[in-house]
Amino acid sequence: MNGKDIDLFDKSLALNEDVEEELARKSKKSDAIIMKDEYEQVVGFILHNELYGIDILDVEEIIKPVDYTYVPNTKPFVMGVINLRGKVIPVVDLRKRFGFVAKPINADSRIIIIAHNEYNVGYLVDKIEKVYYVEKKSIEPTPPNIPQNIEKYVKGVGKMPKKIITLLNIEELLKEGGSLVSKTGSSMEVVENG
Amino acid sequence: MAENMDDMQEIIQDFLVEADELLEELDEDLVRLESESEDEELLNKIFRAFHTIKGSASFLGFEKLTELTHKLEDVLNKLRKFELKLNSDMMDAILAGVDKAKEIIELIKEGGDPESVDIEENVKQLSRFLDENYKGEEAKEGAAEDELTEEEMVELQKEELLEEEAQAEGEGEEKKSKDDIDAEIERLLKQRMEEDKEKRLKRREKILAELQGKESKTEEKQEEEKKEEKKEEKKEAKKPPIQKKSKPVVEQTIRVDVQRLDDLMNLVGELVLGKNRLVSVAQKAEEKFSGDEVVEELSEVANQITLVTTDLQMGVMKTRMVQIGKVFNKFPRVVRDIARELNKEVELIIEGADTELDKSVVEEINDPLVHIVRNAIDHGIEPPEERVKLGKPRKGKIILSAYHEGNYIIIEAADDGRGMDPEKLKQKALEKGLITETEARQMSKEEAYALIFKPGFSTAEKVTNLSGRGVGMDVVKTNVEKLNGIIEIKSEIGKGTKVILKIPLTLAIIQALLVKVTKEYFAIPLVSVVETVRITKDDVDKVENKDVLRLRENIIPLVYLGDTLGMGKNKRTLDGREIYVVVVAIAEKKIGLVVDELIGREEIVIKSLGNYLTNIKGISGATIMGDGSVTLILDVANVINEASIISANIEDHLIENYEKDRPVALVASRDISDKNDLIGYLKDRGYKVIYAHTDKEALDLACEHIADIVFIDLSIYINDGYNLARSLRSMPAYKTTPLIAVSTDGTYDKEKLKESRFSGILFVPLEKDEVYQAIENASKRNILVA
Repeated sequence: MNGKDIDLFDKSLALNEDVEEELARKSKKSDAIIMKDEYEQVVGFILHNELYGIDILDVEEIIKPVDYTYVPNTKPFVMGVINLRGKVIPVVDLRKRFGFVAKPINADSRIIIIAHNEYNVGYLVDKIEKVYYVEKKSIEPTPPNIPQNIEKYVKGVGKMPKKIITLLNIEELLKEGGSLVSKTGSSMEVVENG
Repeated sequence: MAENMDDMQEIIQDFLVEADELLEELDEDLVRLESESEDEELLNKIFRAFHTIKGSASFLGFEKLTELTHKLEDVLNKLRKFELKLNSDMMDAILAGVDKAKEIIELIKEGGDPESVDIEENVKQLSRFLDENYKGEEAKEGAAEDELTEEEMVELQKEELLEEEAQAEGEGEEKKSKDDIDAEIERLLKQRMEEDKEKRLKRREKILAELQGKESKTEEKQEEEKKEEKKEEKKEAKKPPIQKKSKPVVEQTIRVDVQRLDDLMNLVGELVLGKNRLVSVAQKAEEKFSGDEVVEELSEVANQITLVTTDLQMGVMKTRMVQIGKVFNKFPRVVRDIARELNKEVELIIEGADTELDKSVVEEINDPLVHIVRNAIDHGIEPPEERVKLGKPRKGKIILSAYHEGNYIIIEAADDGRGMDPEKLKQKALEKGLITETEARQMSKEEAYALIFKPGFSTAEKVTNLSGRGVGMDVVKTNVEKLNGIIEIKSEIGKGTKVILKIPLTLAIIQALLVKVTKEYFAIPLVSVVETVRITKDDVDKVENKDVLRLRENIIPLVYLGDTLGMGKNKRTLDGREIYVVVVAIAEKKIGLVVDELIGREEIVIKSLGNYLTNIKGISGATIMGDGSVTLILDVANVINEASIISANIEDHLIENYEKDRPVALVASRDISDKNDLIGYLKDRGYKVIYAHTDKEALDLACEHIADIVFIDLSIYINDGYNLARSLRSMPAYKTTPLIAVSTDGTYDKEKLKESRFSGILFVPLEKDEVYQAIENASKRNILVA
């Protein structure tokens, strides 16, 4: 093994006991070295009593709910826009997006700010759990019992020793956009001109 | 290798920039040349321009461009030596060549293959003039040319050859020793003299034959020559000032990447936001600790920063400013081409070409102007014969002018043509089904003129490839709307038409009017605001069940801003005694927007809503206020369009028209166990109870139901209960409504409680008697106040 491909875990970084346990187990077997490539780091959060995960590389930061400004003519799940250090960022109520019953903001509510490609969007979730290390080979394709309206946005399901985590396909969520319809003017005028 | 590629790319970029500039100037110069065909300075300048492009193009290996510009250069070379005389045929060919060159340059810019352009036609056309046998007007001068002595001929040709050689050297194609060059010249010279002798002989024979037949014409020719001489003399007299003008002035300028200026502008934007915040903090501090030394110092600093920021902003804005001449200079060519095609005679007068405006605006203004000018020539200016009959000068006149007015630039395009007849316009629009009979009858003169902006409208009897397709003026409207500009048309039958564009100087930082509607604040770009008025519900008139306002001479449609944004349903926020109207105008339309409250004027920095929220109807962007909150900027054009299809009336939003069978209580509270108790008590007392989890929800519900009493959990999300109370108090319907605070943890801030004008406070756990007592007390106090 050469030094470039491997990475020693700093134990303090391993936030979940699952991995810690695994680390301990592996350390007995094989010199405490595990391949970083074998794991995916995801931010775990709770939504409607279930555990979901978003790739940590897509997460810019996590903030407490702040005052937002309602934006008219957006899809119902768009709460509005917030000011994050001088940047205007849209915030989406993920519960509404997935069609779960609404739950008022409480002390546990957080907004996950996503930065992916050219997109910057915040998603309101019920509660943040922690960062999980999900073994890549344990990720399975979307099982059929996932509701249809969510299926499109699920990348797969990660099986950890004690829990199951639904990994979200953030690209799909971002791509759909939050505008209700494009401006009426253009489409109508095209017809008239033609 | 990669570096070499980069270098090459850089060189090509430089070439493109230079070529663009040269070609742009060429257009202007060539048109000028048409009237001043003997201005040697001008001829030389044009020749040099072609020569420069040719040199660079051949160095960079753009063969077609080289060939084309070489031909153009040759023609100009003959012109500047007065071997040829310019005629309109030649001018057309040259201009066509310039256009082709532009085409090639565009192709290089887009990364296409510059060799794929077909230049054969152009080269053929141009070669025609280079042919010594070319019979244009220059044939008359053939005799004069023949008079050249053999010696002169040799000198001339030597010069020419030397020049060509020098060019070749400059291009770095060949490097020969001096001796080699001299030898080569001698050889070529010999060869050419042989050829020339033959040609001259042939020509002399021909001319002799001609002269015999046209003896009489020589006299005329001589007279012409005399005239020519006179002209020459006149020009001599005029010459000194021309020379003075063309003396090279050393300009102290540097080229800066536009991206850098954009970045700088963004930073200034951030600074303005920071400044706004500082000012608002300083104001707050002053209110709280007035008289304190530190606070005074803070205010002083805030003032200074304000001044410097404003100056800096102006400074950066100025660096982005370009003269509108950049756009206007294209027009002599445009006007010439259109006029020639339509067989009309048009004189173009440009005024205020040195008026400056933001680069981004300049880019958007070109197309609308072309369409307006086209329209003026095609529809406005009459054919020359008709003009003469009408007693007007044969040549039509178009005046393009620009000047500053406050934060706007005004661009006017005026013609002295036939003007527009509002009745005819209405008739046409009726025929095309664009308007109804009633609409036509009610239309004012200005509104009738505005019909020309409707897509599909054209008054041209026949469709030419210039206008009549009904697309052009529509483009004008959309582009001007994009710039938040206003279009105005003045016209007088038989006298002419004037199109006036009023456009904001810059797009990044703007002045805006802040308004409130329901619980939201919006910024309306001040450029679109005509005026604000306060009316009562009795001032609202109805036309075909739509609200209108009679304002002085005009009838303006009225619409509730919330309705245009699709957020006005069931909202009751208007006090019939005091209704605020913001009259806005965009392009050719004007309407009155009814809002709940006018907040004030503010300088705002436009920020985009990002990729996730694109093309939001009615919203053009967002800005961040001094207190850190986000305020949306209205897309006035879209709001106006939306307004025409709204069926809701102003009276639907009047507080006094709210009907209820029993008193309403609004409870705004977090999810707490006691809320059900409270709701129960209130229901028992005959209240209809509405419940809100968050402050946002509470404000929305407060707009929909006019509550008689409000219970507010002080720890409600997202902002606390004090803020919610303050927001409620600012709404007309809740000025005196009892607001009762509910503390869930036993704590409260007495100061804030007073400031938010709460009527009472309750503590959890809530007892029935306490709640009733609080209601009694609050209502009593309410009566006392009233």
